[in-house]
Amino acid sequence: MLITGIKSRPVYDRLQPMTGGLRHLIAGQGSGGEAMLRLLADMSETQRHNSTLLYSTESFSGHSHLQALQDADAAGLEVFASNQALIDALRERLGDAHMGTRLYLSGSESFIGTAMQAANAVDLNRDEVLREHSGTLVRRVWCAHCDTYTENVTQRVFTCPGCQLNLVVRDHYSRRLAAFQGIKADGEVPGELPAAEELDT
Amino acid sequence: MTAFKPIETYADAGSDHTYSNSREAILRLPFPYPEDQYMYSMNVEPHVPFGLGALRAQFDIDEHYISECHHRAQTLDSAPGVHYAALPHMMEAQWDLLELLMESYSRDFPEHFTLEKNGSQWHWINRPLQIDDTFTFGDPSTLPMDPMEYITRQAQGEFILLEERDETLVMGAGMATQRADYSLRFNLGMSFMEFHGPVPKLHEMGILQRALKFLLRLRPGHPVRRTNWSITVNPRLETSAETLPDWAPERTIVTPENAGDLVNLRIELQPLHRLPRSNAVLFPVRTYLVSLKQLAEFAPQWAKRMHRVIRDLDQELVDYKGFTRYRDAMVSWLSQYDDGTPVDESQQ
Amino acid sequence: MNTHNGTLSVRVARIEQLTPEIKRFTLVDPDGKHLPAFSGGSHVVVVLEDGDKTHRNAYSLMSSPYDSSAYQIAVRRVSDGRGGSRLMHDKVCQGDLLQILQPANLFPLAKHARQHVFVAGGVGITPVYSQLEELHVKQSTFELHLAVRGPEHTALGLELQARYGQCVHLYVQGQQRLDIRSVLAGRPLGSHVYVCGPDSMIDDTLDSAHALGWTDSHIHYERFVEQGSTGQPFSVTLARQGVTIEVPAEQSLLEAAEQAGYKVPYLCRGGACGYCETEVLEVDGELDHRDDWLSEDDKLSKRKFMPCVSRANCSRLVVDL
Repeated sequence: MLITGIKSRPVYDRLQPMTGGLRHLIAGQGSGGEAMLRLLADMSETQRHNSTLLYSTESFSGHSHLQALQDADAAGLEVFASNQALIDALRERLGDAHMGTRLYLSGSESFIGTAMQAANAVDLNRDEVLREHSGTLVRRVWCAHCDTYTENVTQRVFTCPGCQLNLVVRDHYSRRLAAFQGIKADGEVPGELPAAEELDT
Repeated sequence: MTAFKPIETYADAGSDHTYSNSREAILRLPFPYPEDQYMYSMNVEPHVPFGLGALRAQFDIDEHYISECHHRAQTLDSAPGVHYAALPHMMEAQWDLLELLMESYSRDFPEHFTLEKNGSQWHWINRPLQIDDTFTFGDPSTLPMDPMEYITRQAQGEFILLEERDETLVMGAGMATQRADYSLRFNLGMSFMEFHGPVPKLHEMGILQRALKFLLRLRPGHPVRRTNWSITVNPRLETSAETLPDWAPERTIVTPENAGDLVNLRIELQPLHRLPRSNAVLFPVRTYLVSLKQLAEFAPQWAKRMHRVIRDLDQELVDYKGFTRYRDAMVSWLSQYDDGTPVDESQQ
Repeated sequence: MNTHNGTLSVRVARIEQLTPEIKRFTLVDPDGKHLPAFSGGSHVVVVLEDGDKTHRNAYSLMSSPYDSSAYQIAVRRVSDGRGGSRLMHDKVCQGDLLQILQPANLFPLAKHARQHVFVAGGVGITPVYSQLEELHVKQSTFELHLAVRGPEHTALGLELQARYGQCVHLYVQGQQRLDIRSVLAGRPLGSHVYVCGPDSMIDDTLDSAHALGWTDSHIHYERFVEQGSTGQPFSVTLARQGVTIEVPAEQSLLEAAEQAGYKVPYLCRGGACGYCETEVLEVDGELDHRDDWLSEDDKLSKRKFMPCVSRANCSRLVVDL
C-alpha cells in the first residue's frame, strides 16, 4: 500500500485581500499570526475597518503574535486560549454572518482542517475562503482500527494511544475528518516495521 | 439461471470457509485481462446487455446471492457505522438508487423479484430472501432503515454514491462490506482526485483527469461499465483498512505449492450510472472471487493469460494491490498452465 | 426506452394557453408507462421535422421530478425565431406524437445551500417550477421573485403562489417593481441565487450580487450547451472504403458511419478513452476537436481526430477509416 506521495493533501494558499468581500473574518493560531499581520498590512483602510480578528495563542511551536495583533488596526480582536474555543466561536459567527463575508485561516494543518469543518457547515465555497499554512507540519492522525485521533504527530511510525498498535502515518488526508490516516505498521509480519523517520517539514 | 447456493461462509469468518464456485459461475465471469500484459487504462464502454453471463443484466446476481447478502448482514452487525455510511444530504440519491435497483432486478430477474407501483405506493417482493414489503416511495418513515441500506442489503456488490459539486465528484454515501483496502469513513467527503490518491501512476498517466471529465458528462439512461481487479488470500470479501490486522498476515503463508488453493482473483465489475433526480453518480463495485485452482480447472486459457499478466505486472501495481510477498509463488503455480502458445480467446 | 442514442416518443396529452404567448404541453408515454425520472432544472430537447429542416429546441421540464407519469413544458411563441416555437404553437395538436431526447440537467440546484433565492422573468419561470418541487419535497428554504410584463401574464405566478404561499413574490410591470438588490441583501452565508430570464435580468442579478459581495459559485443561471456531438453538418471521405458520407447535424461521425453500414472501432463513445483515434489524411478547413484524449499538440497538428465526438468546419476531410 502506498504510504508516501499520496496526492490527497490539501494545497494551501497565500493570504491576500479578497477584493469582492464586504466583511473579512481573519482567524489564526500561534505562528499563523504572522500571515494575519501581513494580510492586514496588504489591505486597504476600508477593508481593515471591516475586518474582525480571531486569534488563538495555542501553539505547538510556542510562537505568539498576540502583542502585534493587539496593536494592529482592525475592527476587532478576540483572543482565545485554545484552538477549540476559537473554532466554537467561529462557528457561531459564521452562522450569523451574511453573504459577502470572506474567511481567512492561518495556522497549523490541524487548525485549518477543523476550521474548515465550520466553514463547510455554512456552505462557504473555495472562492470565499483562503487558507495559509504555517508552522510545523505536525499531523493530526486518525487510527483506522480504534477511531482515536492523535494530535501533533511528528514521526512516521508511532504507537496509537487508543489501541496500542504500531501505526504508520500515510500521506492520505481526509478533509471530513481533518486528519491523516494511521494504519497498522506491521500488518503482515508482527515487528516488521517501516523505516522510522520524521514526517516532512 | 443457476440455483442459489445455500449460505456459504467466506474466509472472513476464519479458515474454515465453504465458499466455492460452480463451473457455470466461473465461465460467466467478466475476465479482466484483455491482453497478456496489464496496465491501467480508460477501459470504459457503454453498459449495454452482452451475452448471457455477468454482462447480461444491468446489475448482475449469481449463485452466491444469498450467501453474499448473509455476509453483508453479519458484517454490518459486527461493526455498526463502519461499513455503511451516508451523509445527510444524500437522501435523494438514496431513493434514486433504491428505484434503480428494484426496477433493474425485477426486470432482469423476474423469477426472483417483483415490483408493483401504485403511484408512490410500492410493493416489493424478493423471493430468495423471503421479503414482501410495501412502502411509500420518497417517505423514509415507511422503511425500517435508510433506503440505501434497505435495498443494498438485498443486492450483490458494493455501492458508492458520488455527489457532483465544484466540478468534481465527492463521495457522499457507501455500502461497502467488500471493500479492498480502504476506509469508508475516512474516504467519505473526499473528491475524485483525493480518494484515488493512493493508487499509483493514475495521476501521472492523465487517466484520472480524463475519467473525471468523462464521468461528469454521464447522463441518466446511458450507463457505462469497466472492470478492475485485485488479489486476495483466501475467499475473503471484507478486506478493509480497519481490519487489516486480521487479513494482512495471510500474505505470508502463500507458497508455490498452495498458491492454487489460497490465492483468489478478485474481479470488480463497475457499471457506472448517472442518477436522475439527485444527479449523483453511482459507482457500484460488483466483486467476484475465484481461486487460481478453480480458474485453471474450468478456464485454462484464462489461467494461461493470468500467468503472463502477473509475471510481467509493473511492480508499483503489485505493491499497491498487496501481493508483493507472494507474486513469485503465484507465477510459479500458474506457470504449469502456460505452454507459451498464444491464448485462444475463443475458449476459456 | 433505453436506446443509447435514441429519442423517446411521447404523446401530447393536453395543451393549455396560459398567457397570450405561452402554451403548456403535457406529454405522456404512448403506452401509459412512467417516463424517466429527472432532477429539478432538467430540460428535454424536442426534435421537430419541418420539411427538410429539423428543429431541435430545448425546453425546461416544469413538472414534478417525483411524478414521472407525465412531463410538462411551456413554449413561448417567438415570431422572429428559427421557427421551432411557431411550429409547436401552430402545428402541434393534442394527441400528436413528438420525439424528445431524455432529460439532461445543466441547471441543477446547489445541494448544500442553506437558502435558495430564485429570480425569474416571464417564461424563464419554467425550470424553476421543477426546482421548487424538488425543494418542497426536501422541505428546504426558498423564495421566488417573479417579474411579468403585465396582468395577462400572471397565470404561472398565480399558480405558484397558490401552491407555495408567501415565499412566492409576484411583480407585475407597472404595479410592483422588482428590486433585485434588496432581494439579495442581508442573506445568510450559504445562500444561492438562481436567475432565469432575459439577459438584462441576468446582468442586473450578477451586478447586484457582486456589489453585495456574493461570489460566482453562489450565482446560477441557465445556459444551454449542446450535448453529444451535434453542430454543423459536414462531409467526410472514408479513405479505406473509398466513400464519402454526410454527417448530419445531430449525429457524430461515428454514428453516421455506423448508420451507413461501416464499422469504426470505439469504446467509450465519449472522447475520453482514445480507442477511436483516427488519422486525418487531408483537411481543407478546421477541425472542431471536442474530445479529452488528444494533446494540444495533436489537436493543432490536424493529423489526429476522435470520430466519436469531434466535428469539422471544412470543405474537404479525408480520414484513414
